Amino acid sequence: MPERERATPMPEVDEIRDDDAAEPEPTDPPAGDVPEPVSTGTAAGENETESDASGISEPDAVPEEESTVDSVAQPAAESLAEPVPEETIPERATDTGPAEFPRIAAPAVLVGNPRLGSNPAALPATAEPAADSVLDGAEFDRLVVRAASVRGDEHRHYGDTRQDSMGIWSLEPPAGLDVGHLVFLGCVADGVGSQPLSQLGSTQACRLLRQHVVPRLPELLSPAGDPAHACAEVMSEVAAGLRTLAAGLQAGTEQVATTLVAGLVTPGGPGTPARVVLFRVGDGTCFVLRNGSWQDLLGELTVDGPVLSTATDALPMHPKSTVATVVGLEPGDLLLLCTDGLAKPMMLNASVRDQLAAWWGAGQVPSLPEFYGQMSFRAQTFGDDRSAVCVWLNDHG
Amino acid sequence: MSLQLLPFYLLCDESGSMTGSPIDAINDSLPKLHHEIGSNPAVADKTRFCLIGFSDRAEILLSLSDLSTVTEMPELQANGGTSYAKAFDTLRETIDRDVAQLKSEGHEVYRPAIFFLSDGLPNDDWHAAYQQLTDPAWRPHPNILAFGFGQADADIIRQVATTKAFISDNTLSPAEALREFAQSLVRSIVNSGTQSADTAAGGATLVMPDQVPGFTTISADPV
Repeated sequence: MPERERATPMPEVDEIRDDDAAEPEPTDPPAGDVPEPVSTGTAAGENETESDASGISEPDAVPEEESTVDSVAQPAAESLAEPVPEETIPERATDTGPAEFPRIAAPAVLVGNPRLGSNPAALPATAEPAADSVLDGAEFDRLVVRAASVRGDEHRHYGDTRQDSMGIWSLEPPAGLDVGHLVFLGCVADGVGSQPLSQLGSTQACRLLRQHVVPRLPELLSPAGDPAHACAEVMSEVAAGLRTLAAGLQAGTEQVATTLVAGLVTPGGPGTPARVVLFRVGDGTCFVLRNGSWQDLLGELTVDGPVLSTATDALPMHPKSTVATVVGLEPGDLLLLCTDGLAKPMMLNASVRDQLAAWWGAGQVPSLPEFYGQMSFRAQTFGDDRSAVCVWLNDHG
Repeated sequence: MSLQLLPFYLLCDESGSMTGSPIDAINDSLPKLHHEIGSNPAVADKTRFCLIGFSDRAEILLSLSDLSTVTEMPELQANGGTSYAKAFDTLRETIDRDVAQLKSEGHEVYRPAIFFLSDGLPNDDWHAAYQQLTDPAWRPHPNILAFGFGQADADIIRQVATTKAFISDNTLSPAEALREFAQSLVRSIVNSGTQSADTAAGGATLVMPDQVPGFTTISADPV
């Protein structure tokens, strides 16, 4: 079905162009003499080019195809099958045709009056720039995941590569431990070294995290284990891997520096809370959205004193500053792991916290395109990359 | 609404020795600066700009403003002696007031950046005022980038800078040097706006240009 919806309008465009070429007078604007949709289409879109205008007004192929896709509500479709009274013509012209599917809304403005837009400028002048954005998601028994890493508007403006990275994985539950059939790992990383290596650092940190979490799952997940110790060990191993990366690039370790925050979720059985191991180095943040309000699960982000500082701990320099905790989350909770590009506008602006709660609260899980659009909100002076892994806990399954 | 703002202060020598082409060149450059900053959305969104002129006394010619909302730049007028102490005292008071104001409006404030532009030797004792301005115990103590040209003493310019200092190498006329200065200033603001959000451990929040055409870079040497 989705393929069909997407595929059908394409050949019509070609047909319309052929007709258009054969048709001598699509520019005659005043309606009246003939109830010919071409003329009203042109009148409705006077500022458009000829081919655009006649493309919109082409009557034949469009409604037939659309009537086969009745899940897409197009009220004018049936009226097209019969002779059309003149007064309905404007309605036909605006309510039919491939151009009339709902457009994806422009990103919401949640802070101030940003003059900086979101369109990318030049491509980053590096051999292997990261794609502008990464979008991902998953659904399992008892949890649904949406994740995105979105280049900041300032990096887009200056043609710099995204420096954030993220990762989500379902891992094989370790043998001999009764942790259910799902172990979910999510993480976000903010490359804080010098471009372009900061992107390599954050990407590699996510990969290394998964690699070093897997062998330590028994220790991380066992009720008798010492997850804080295991988290610190994992971060030390990630740091070692980043040093290797830097050495291979013949770069200083600080050039691949990155923050890293991770969450390891085992949903547990019905009626029991999900167990979440959270750990980080640097200013990544873990929030839970419960009953409409956000709670920081790993302590306050430091927004210090009279002057704003951007300093943060980072790997591979500071693995010893690993902070870890284990929390239980209930059905209905949303776990959010995010980089400071999202955490800062949230912490400093109630407008951002409230809007995200309205979008994501009460178990509402957005579609992937909706989630991407929401993550793309604009906020004046908050032009940094944003990465988030959202995990909704539910009782389904 | 809470924004993350970076205040810039342009501290301009308008003593008598600036009369003629130096002051004309600055006055020609300011509207261009205004246009280039005000029309760059990434810079306009997160910076505020203040212009202070000094000679025997110091005067705020443009209070801390969003340049995209400013319709006209003030003009400098050259006369009198050169009191760095008055300049530094006024600057410190102004920063204190501005930072408090921005914070009371709910904004977060990056460490202020100063562009200090002087063509002559100060004729007062300015060290006490300078120490107050750069006192690490005073939380909003600014980063200072100093430009010297004309007959400026390189040692003095070096002492004023906390981050970088530049001396005109006389390959450019004052007008050309100031145009280069203006462009360098804009580029520096752009870079700061970009990188201040991403600066790694160490907490530096301002990226200064390493080279300015027509100027020789000298190492900063705070007193």
